[in-house]
Amino acid sequence: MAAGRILIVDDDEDIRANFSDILCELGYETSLAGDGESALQLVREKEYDVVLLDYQMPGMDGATLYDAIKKVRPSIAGIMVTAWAGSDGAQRARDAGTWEVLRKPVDIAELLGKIQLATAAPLVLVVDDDHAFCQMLWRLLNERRFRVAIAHTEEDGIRQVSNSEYQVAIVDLKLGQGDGVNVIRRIQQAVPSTKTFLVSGNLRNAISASQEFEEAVIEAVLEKPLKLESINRMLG
Amino acid sequence: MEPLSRAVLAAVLKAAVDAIVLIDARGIIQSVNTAALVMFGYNREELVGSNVSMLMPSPYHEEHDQYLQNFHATGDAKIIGIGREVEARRADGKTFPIHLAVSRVEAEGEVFFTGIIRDISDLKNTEAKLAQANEELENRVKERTRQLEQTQAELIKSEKLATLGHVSGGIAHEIRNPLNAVRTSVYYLRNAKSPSEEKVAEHLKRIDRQVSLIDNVITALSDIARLPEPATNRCDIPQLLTEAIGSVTLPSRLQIELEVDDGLQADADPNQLSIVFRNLIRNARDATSAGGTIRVSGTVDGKSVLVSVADTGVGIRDEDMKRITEPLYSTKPRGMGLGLAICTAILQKNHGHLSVESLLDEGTTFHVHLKKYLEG
Repeated sequence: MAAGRILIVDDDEDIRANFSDILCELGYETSLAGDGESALQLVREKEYDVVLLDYQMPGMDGATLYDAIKKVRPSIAGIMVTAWAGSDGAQRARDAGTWEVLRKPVDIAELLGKIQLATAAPLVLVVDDDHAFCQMLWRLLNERRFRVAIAHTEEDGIRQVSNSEYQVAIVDLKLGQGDGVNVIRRIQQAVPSTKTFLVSGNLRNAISASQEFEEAVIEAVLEKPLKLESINRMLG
Repeated sequence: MEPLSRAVLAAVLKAAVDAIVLIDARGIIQSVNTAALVMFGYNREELVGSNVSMLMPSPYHEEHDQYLQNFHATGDAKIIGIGREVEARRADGKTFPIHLAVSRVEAEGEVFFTGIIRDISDLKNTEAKLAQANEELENRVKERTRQLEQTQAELIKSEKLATLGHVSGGIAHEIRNPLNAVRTSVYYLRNAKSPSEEKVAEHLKRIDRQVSLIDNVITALSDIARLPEPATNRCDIPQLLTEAIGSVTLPSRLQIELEVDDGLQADADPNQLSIVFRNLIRNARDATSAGGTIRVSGTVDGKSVLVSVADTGVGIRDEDMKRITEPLYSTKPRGMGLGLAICTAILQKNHGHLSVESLLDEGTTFHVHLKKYLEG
């Protein structure tokens, strides 16, 4: 298996090719895009662990692009490499949630270290039909260098479980018409070691649902709204 | 009539607002009116029979007898028949400004002088206040001017700093990008375990290409810093346009058409004109990155040559139009904003000029107006 799947976005063809050559040498799988639109197309078609972003590009700048990417696949960690570091572009990139903003000409050893950390970062799956709740968890976990995938329905949750291996899953009991229990069952089949948390607005229902499972399948049942300490416990 | 007119005259004298003093040839006061008593603060008895010099401060007080003697001897009048502003002295010793008009009268074989005196203290006060106000106003204007000059100096300083920031930001970007490519190629060549010969050659070529990019940036900067005097000569427009089109990398989704009169020749520096054409074609390409057509044409019009570069690109916004030839102004993600500034500067030195028409989302046409080349 590849060391990681990296999407490289830069409007300079030579720079794209160079990053790709270096990363391929180290066993990474790379895709290349010259602008925001083609990068988004690739993200829609394929899973990536990390996106390397240039800031100034024709059409869409790197910060805007990362914002668009995280709507399609929020589990892609963003690393920006820019000739403009220090300007408000760098701040906008951080605000959008990129993990690093590095200045061109980039210190390659440093960049490779960051890429390695990002590809090895724990993956968290959040399954909840409450979009605002998902966004809040994404921000909180992304800041602590977790990569966070989001699903809003039972079907999407099950689909995402079969796509990647998650270290942590946070699943809402009630998913519109769907049932969080089914998602957890699937997680249990795919990767039994996943630390799974069941969250619900109704603690009693959640506890009785959790009793369907063998002990140790569900790490904890948490009541919404989540308290900061229970989030910390999940992450610990 | 005679007695009546005398009574009327007496009344007039009595009621006059101005002081009226009648003296004889030796300067002895013969008669005064009421206004004179009020003005000077004396009784009639104190005045009539005294020398008129008592109403004057030094040095006139001492010199008045002499004035009268001079006048009698030479007829040389200092005041008589003229009237002027002088100082007068009141009974309490205070002086005050007056307007004095003196006329000479002869009656019953004797010479008299009549002085009509108006107190102009109020006028003088107003004048002084006016002068003071004027002075204050002038001081305020001076102070304000000083403040404005200071503000302007600060503005120029901060503008210079802003420009400097803009320049260094643009240069930093244009140089760091190629440096990044060079550094990553070097890293690859150093660290790749068994790179193929083609890979090595590819990376060396990239390094070379990116070093040229940095060199271009520095050339553009030094070009604009000291644009050399043009060596105007016969310019073969079809050839220059063909070369310029060939020097610009054009994506396949872009159509370029060249339509130029055969043997079209302009009078300009061919090397500098190439820079203009290349910049305009490059701009047209950047404006049509989503695909489109660039039409380059050259025609002769009397003694002028007109070269046009028309694109079907994004167009120029009104707010950008005023600033497109401003150095360091750019709307592109890459570029320092020097292209059109250089074009304008070059054409100015080559008896030409640049004009532009643009419609948003429809396209832009740049016209280069040049002088036709004439043999000899």
